[in-house]
Amino acid sequence: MLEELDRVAELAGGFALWHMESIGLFWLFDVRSGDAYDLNLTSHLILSSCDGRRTLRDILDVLVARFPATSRDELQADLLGLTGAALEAGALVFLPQPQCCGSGIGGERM
Amino acid sequence: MAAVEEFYFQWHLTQRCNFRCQHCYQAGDGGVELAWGDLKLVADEIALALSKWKRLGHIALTGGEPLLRAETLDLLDYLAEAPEVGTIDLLTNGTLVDDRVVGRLVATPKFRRVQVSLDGSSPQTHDAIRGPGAFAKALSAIRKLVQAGVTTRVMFTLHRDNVADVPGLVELALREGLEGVVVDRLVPVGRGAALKGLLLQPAELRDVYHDLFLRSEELAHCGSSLHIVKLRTLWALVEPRRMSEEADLPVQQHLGAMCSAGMAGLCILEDGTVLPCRRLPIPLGNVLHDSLFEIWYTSPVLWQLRDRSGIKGKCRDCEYASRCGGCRAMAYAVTGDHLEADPQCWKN
Repeated sequence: MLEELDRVAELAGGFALWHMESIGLFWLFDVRSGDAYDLNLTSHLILSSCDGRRTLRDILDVLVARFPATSRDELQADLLGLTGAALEAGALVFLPQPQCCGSGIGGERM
Repeated sequence: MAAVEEFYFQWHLTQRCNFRCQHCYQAGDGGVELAWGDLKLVADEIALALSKWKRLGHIALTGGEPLLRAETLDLLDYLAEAPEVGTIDLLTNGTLVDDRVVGRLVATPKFRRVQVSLDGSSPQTHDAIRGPGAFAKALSAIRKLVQAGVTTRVMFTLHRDNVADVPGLVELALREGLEGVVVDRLVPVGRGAALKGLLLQPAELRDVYHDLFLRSEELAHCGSSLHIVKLRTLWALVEPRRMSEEADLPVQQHLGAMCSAGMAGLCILEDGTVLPCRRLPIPLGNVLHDSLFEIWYTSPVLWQLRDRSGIKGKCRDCEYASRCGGCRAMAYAVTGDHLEADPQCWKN
């Protein structure tokens, strides 16, 4: 069984992320329905890191490096909470994992 | 109750025109036009976007000469049925305005105003730009519209060949009972790209705007209803308090406005191509293939227009940046870079 953190996700087709760094605004857009969601910096960082290559564990490492004052457990909860909600909303898809080869590690780590 | 935010669509239904004005932002007069079914699809797409964004739509139908298309008046009616559409305008050279057209405009719910292009207050100026007989036809249309009670304003494209006629245009507008006067700068794109030599120098433009401001204050002081439109880029640089004190006139507090390109407006061409503004010819997509949502949310050009941090030159850190920003179309037409400073800005 793959651990949840070994999964790889990417933004679903029809969704787009944008940000205006200069004024600290971040959005997720559903270009099919026209819905727009305001994001904060962390949510934007998480969703933009879901690139179809990095595992959630890789992304957690990015968060830990970016927010050293916050505990890893707390960041992991945020990560799993947001990706779960985004999955439910159809904004994120988890990629099919390769069959387990016995090493306990699924998918290629980049 | 909070005011509903507005969104402006300038929709060019055709490139065809019965004039060949030197300064036109169009380069040609051909192009594929949308059939009636596609016009309705685009209108539905506009209504859907307005509904999702909770914006009140202001739609201006134009061309080319929009009255060359039989469908234009039917489209007015179709758009008026959409609850999301607040007002509809018609931008025309006036030559095809007859009693039938006036009757349709008067009968169309939500129809707000006709804007007739007038580039001078006399045939000498106007016809030199638009062709023989154009002034008489435009004036005839204006009178017909005003007589029928249709709100009518004139649009004056400002450049060196007609700058001396700006005061005369205001007087004509007063005399003819018009609702408003728009004096907009020539942006040298399309056929007008050859006219860069006619652009006013910044100090000349400043003087035109200052004189217009003072005339506008005088008119307001006299109780005139003529509205000289000042919600344009660079108008913020006119200093109303100092000027009013000098002229011993009441102070009008707010001048100028950010351009709506990228913020609250889009332009749609006759084939469905979408531009940020008619004078900024950078295609963003085509509304027949790309939804307005996709264009609005994902176009890098629109995001550049929204994110002012990429603006260059003196527009970038200008004290008026929050209510001017310069004309991005003028920057593009003159420098090839829509993020450059407005080349007609007179501020040091």
